Amino acid sequence: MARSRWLPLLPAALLLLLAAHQGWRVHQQGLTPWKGGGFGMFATSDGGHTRRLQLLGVDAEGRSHALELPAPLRGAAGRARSLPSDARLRQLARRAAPLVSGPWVALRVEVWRTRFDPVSLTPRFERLRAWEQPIGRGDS
Amino acid sequence: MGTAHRTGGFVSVAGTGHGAEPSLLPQRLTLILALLRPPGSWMLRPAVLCLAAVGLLWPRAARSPWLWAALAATAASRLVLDWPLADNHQYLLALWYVALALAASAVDPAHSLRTSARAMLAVVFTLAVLWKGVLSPDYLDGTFFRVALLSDARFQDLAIGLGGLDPAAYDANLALWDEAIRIGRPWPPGAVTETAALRILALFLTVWTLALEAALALVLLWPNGRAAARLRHPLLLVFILTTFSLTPVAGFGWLLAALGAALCGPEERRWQVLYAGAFLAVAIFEGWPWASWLRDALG
Repeated sequence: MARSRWLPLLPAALLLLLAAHQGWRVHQQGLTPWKGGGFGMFATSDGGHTRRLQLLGVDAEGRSHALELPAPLRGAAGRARSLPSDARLRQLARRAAPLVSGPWVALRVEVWRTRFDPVSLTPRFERLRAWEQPIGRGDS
Repeated sequence: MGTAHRTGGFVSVAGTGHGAEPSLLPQRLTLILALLRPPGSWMLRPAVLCLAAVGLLWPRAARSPWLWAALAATAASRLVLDWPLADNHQYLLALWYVALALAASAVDPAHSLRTSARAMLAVVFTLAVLWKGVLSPDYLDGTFFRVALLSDARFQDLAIGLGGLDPAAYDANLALWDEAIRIGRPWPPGAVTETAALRILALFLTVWTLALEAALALVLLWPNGRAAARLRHPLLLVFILTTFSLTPVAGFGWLLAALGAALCGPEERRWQVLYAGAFLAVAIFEGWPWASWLRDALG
């Protein structure tokens, strides 16, 4: 009897659990609040479309150079913009390694988000997360 | 005589249907939604379409927990394939299928479904209010809707029609916007064209959306039998009709209409009819470019 009384609340409880997980990912991994089951859509301009993913080649002197993102990686880059976890950025850098040419000792993937001035709407760019992947024999 | 059920403040009355068969409208609306918005994956699409068709054609199947468990499994697979980047209403849909499966195997299916629908809607609107009112740094000051009106194509007609923005200025703004995000360089101060009407519209949308969602969260959490509980249906219908006439997320609108229909007690059949109407209205809004007509009329 008690079981049947509480069972209908199970889906709502799971919804709350998902929301807690989404909050953790937003806080820890930079997930956009628009995604992940936390119902943060239409609450912030920090969505995938206002984020920028930058691929950089790092030379032996440690200087970084902006690189064009290889076309086959655009889908994965879009997903990494929404959830720039270490695992996704590392995977993207590893997949990019054989597709870019240059004297690079490492590839760096950076995800930037945009904040807008509440008066003038002038954008300000904040680096949200980054991953640097050394290019070794095993990576390409 | 009705039997009172109490579930942690979620109280409702069951067994007052005067012997009438419980309505299958929430199930039918959910199955139509499944037909209208099947998953894109070729692995899941045929299964969802077949299950939805079977449920619609045979009412007995729509009362079977197995049908809903199978649909829940397809929805869960969809979430796993896109984990964790699926749209929010996909999570809600998967758990709604679970609620339907639980209800189908319950002693009083209508009561079980009503309890699930109310608790799920309460969670959804409470989370939405939490994000807008507390967690988001740029909602309460109106920045979000100003940015959305100026840069989100879904709000373009509204920005031009009601915001009074010249179409050429809108396009120029958008080009400036795209370039700034793409290369990571801000535009000079004053480069973006914004009208006073657009600022007022953004402020109105900010206040209206938050107030409506907060009111809904409150009346859904409020115990049954109180005056506030009577506001649930009108508020939810207003939310569905206003929100999904502006934002093209019909799948979410249909799902809310199905949950709203499930929220109705046996004495509230007329509200169920209105939820069916809201479901239809969302479908009409989706293909009816009323905002661009408004833009042309005002332009």
